[in-house]
Amino acid sequence: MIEILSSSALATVQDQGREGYLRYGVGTAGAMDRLALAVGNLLLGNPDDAAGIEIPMFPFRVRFLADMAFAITGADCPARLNERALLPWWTVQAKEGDVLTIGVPTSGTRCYLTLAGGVDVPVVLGSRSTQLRGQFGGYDGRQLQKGDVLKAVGEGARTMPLDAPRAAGFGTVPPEFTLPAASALPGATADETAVRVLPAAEYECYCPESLEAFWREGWKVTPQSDRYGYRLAGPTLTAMHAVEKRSHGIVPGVIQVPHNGHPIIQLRDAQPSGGYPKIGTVIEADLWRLAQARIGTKIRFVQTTYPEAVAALEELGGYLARVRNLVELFRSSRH
Amino acid sequence: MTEKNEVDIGELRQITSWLAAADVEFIEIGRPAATVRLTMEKPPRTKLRTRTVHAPDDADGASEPPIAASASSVAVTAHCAGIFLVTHPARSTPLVSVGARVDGGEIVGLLRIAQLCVPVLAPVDGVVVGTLVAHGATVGYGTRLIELAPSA
Amino acid sequence: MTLTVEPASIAHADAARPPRRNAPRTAVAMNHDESDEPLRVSMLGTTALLFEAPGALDLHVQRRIWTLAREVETWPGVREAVPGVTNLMLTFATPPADPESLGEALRDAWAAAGELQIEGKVVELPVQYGGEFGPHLQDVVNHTGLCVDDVVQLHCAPLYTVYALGSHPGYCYLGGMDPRIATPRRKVPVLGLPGGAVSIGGVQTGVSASTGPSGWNTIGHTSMSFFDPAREHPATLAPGDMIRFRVERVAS
Repeated sequence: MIEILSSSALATVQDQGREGYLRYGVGTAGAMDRLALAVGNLLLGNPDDAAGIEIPMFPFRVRFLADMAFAITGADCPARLNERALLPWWTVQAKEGDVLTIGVPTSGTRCYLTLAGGVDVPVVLGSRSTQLRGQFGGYDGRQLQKGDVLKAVGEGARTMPLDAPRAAGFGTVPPEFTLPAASALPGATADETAVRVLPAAEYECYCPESLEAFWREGWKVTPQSDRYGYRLAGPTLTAMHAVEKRSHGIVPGVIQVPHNGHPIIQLRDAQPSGGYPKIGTVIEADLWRLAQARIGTKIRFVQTTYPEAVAALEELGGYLARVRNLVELFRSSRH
Repeated sequence: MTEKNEVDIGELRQITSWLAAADVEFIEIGRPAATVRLTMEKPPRTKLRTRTVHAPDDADGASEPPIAASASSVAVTAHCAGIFLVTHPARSTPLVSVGARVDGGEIVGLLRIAQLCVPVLAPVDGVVVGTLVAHGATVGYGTRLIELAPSA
Repeated sequence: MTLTVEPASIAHADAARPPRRNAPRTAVAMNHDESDEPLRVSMLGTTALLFEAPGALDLHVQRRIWTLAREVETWPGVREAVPGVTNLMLTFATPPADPESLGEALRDAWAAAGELQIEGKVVELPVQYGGEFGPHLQDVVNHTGLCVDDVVQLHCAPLYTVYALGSHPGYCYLGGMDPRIATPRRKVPVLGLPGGAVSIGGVQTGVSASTGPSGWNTIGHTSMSFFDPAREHPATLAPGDMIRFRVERVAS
């Protein structure tokens, strides 16, 4: 059990997403960085569909109202349990009364607090993710506020002797060291995130100069960027003729170009359908990188092929499988 | 000081499970008087990697004791095979520096086993005297990593 | 709700459907995009495939989309078949190994898809037009040149068909609005438009199912609940259902 000590944190309870209800107008929601959430759950031995807390604003403070193992993954945030500094991508056991403070990240923009057993909120339409428009799922369908108390699934059923190794915890090497990023164009700087993109149906509607700009530019993530989508600043993209699309389904990663020519990458809280033309789709395997791109930094689109995109997704799956095996070995060797 | 000739079966189990996880086919632990070689029966899942680890000798050439010989220093040893890290991969400052006071149970180093980072803990309260192994070096079970001067 | 499927190719569908009244084409058309579209299959990354039906934007095409959805949702590997307005999106749990042959299978299934005759339920929605609930009714009057009463009457006259759900939970894409009250979307969207807002956007009309932003022109309000996440079928309306707006009040 934890108590939220921060107000106006914009934090929400998310799992891997709500699937299967697009035909009712219900988007998937779910974690922006699904890789970080998955690793947090693996470190704790949680079920894959366990929910965690997505934290986009800092500092974020919680008090533990019971002994509990937890993990922090995602953006590299200076985190302290009481006065003790924690390492990133790490799990450790807290004692009742401990206060966890997660500070402003030095890189990345969102982190995930996972609890042993997973956050205990009702499953709505198959998921514990927060559906903000419509106000259901997660914690009462809203962002967390000061004073909210969250329990973990199966809390109290486990007795965990707090020995030195459990107090010290363990962790993973952050994924960016293990999973190579897409090669960006020469001249890409450190504050740029390269993501692989597959052209979408209206790609060929754009004039050659616009297509060239699309792949060449470092697109700036404007402050109007959030879980709904990333609004990008850069050259105006111009279609060769007027494009009017009938309303159709979209998925996270779809890059729409509204009338003003400024692309928007639709993300987890986006409307699940729309009528704007689509120039491309950020591949699912790179959405976690996008999720960590900070406002004010730049996105570079790297052209890829369908087989490469599928291979990238398989590489992610392989990485998670290896982490799962290692963690299970380690956790069993401690007992 | 006696030389430890028997191999603890529990230690072997731990070493082999870690090797399997790290996809290492065989490991040799060399000591002045003997060499232990462990070979995995199953082929590794990924690329073949081999490591030969030599337990570092004492200055006088004798095999090292499992824990310090003298009362004025305590060696923090590796509890499994892995890559010793002085600094976390995402950090630029070491976990501890020479002269730092540490509490028993505090993290003084890391062992990287594939994607996992496992803490190396100070066994007692003390002051860091020095690091005995370079950052990034592959170590075996029992390798002395850090020297502490225990407090009190 | 009874379903009748008429298995037929495109040519047979023309003969099989009942003769159309000499009604304006706009009775079933939905969008000012009157031009015919070519058939198009495209991928949305590795996560989804989009099938865009050829032809005009009308109910005949939409009925075939409903048939196609029912067929495709049984295919192995398809997580969900999501109808849009004369299109269908397929989502996958794992990416299809061969999107090309999947596209071919879809074209074949489309060719064989007859018009699904859904006898949907008819829901009557009482609407309070104008006043505090219709902040943009005057904009529609200004754009169309019609008076308030004419706008309201033209809005209430048709029996609208639910083509598909999307946009937000429980929201229905409706077909059948009279183009005479069409009004362009607003330059600046309104944030926090309440659920139940009745709006016109271009040649379409719709009712918000929950609070959110909208770039449409809000002309009234209705109190219906369109979505309840506690229900097994959480949306109140489904494709093939019909909506009739009824004037409850017209405020000045």
